[in-house]
Amino acid sequence: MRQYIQMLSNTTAINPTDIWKLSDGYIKPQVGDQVSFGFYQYLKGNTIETSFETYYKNIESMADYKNGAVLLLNPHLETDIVNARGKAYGMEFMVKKLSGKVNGWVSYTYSRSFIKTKGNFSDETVNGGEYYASNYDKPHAVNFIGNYKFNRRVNFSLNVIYSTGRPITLPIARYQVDGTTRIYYSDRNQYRIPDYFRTDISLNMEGNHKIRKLAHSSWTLAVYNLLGRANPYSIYFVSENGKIAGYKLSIFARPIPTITYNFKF
Amino acid sequence: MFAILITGACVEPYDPPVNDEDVRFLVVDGFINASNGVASVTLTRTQPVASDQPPPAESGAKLSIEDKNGLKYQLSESGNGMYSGIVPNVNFETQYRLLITTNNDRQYTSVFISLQQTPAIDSISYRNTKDGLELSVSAHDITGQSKYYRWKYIETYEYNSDFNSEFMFTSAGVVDYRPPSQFIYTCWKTTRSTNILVGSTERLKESVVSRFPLTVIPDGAKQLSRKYSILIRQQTLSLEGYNYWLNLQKSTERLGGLFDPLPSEVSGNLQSVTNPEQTVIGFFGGGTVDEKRIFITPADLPDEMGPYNYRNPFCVVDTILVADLGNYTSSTYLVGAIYPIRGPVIGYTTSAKPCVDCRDWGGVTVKPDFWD
Repeated sequence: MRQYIQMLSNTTAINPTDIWKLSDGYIKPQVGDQVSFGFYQYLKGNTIETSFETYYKNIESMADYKNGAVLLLNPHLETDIVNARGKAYGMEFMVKKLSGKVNGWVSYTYSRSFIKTKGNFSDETVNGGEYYASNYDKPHAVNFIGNYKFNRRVNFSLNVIYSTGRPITLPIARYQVDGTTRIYYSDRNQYRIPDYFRTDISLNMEGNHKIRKLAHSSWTLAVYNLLGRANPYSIYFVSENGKIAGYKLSIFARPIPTITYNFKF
Repeated sequence: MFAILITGACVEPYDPPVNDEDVRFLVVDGFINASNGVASVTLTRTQPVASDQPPPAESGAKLSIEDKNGLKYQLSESGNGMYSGIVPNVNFETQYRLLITTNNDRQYTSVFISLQQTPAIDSISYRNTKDGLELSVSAHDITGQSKYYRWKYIETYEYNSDFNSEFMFTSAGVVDYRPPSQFIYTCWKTTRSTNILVGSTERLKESVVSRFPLTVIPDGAKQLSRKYSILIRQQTLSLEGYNYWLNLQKSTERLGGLFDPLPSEVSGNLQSVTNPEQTVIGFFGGGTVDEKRIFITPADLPDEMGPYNYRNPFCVVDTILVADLGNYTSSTYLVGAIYPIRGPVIGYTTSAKPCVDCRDWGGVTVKPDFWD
């Protein structure tokens, strides 16, 4: 696989920002080689589908940023980017029930993604030139979607999502040089933001099933983030009165109920 | 996106999941002055980011400077994590390194460094910019060897309080002239540069630093009210030193914004001998240092910069009649005396401490030695 556009993320700002960088005279296209193996099985007369898949991917010429790089509005971004090697592997496991009063699917994914940046100069070598977790490394992810049909007009669905928090570079210590406070950062992506976990429910009520009528309508009552968990959107640090304060920004950190009226004609 | 932020965003304090005991890294700041052979090293420890305590000093360590021939020179502690000693026959041909054994018996060492010869500062210039008076430094090296520079500065300025206190309470209810030793009208305040100022001439054909901006004094600031002085210290850095200070500047002087550099670990040229995985922060460098001082008075300022004429609107005077003096003690600040057309003093003017005592603004009343 060859890819001529690459994404670079700044995950330390209040609003994580992605920059897309086209390959050019300085930035080589990313080249990936992937092998995968899958096993699929239908059970109980094709009502349950199971699948298992595993993969390994080797990536060359991945774009990684140098230490102290400035990504946004940088007119010569290529000077802040170095070529890195990457590897990713993992497995996915899924069970899907296609029909019946209770249907839905559950999946579990174990996936890792690593990057290795070793250049000729100290600012082009990250974490001592060893493999480290890339921004996409979220080892465990579980998704569950379940539907229950009470009758032909009323059904209920439950949606549960869990994933490991993405890696982050944290300021871990402060010290003074020449009477001025400086910050010591951890190795790049050494820590993780808290895990993501969200539960949504919805109740869907269809109108009557008469064939001849003006519009077919339905009501949906739903609650997004039922447990009101404050899932982190970003973690950032600011300097306040000579102290470094860390903040976690969550969006929809409380249950959000919604009522929707749908109609189609 | 913005709508989402308004409707449901919430910001909570976040403590990094870092064990405080794991982040007590050794911090080294070491320098050999090649002009006199004095080696000085400061050892401290890091502390958790949320801490607001002063940094803990690392006392009781044994330090020495070793030259490439294996000769060692001990440093001694002058207290509070500060160590110093003399390296005899210090020269630019020999390489030196710093050896540290902390009192918990861990050993650290720097890489071997060469001392850097610093050229003289050519001039310190200033000019009016839209932000205020910009001070800059110029230098050149005819040998072309100095490619990386670092500057530090110390600013001192003279200023007055709003009112000159001529009288004082010597005790409760008793007023006398203020003796010259207790004058609090004129103060001198000294501050040091806090930012890392580094520059490179690597991309130039010759090693010439032309008006490298060091600091800006806002128009109408107290600094320029009477007399201002800046002492600039110039030091040539090695490439490693330049990269260290530049990285440190990039990763610690701006933080968390969209346009700010991405953080990175900056460790320096020291490592642990006992356990190479152990983090040690800091840089050991050396060489000569050149310094130059200039003075600026309001008369020297560019014409378009206005004179200092700020008066604190909060500073007003009040009157105390002689008959009421018994109600006041030495915590009241007197300004001048009020005389009738004929006869003795009938009262005194008074004002609040920040308007009378210049020390309230951080200065001292002792004139510095270099002041003229």
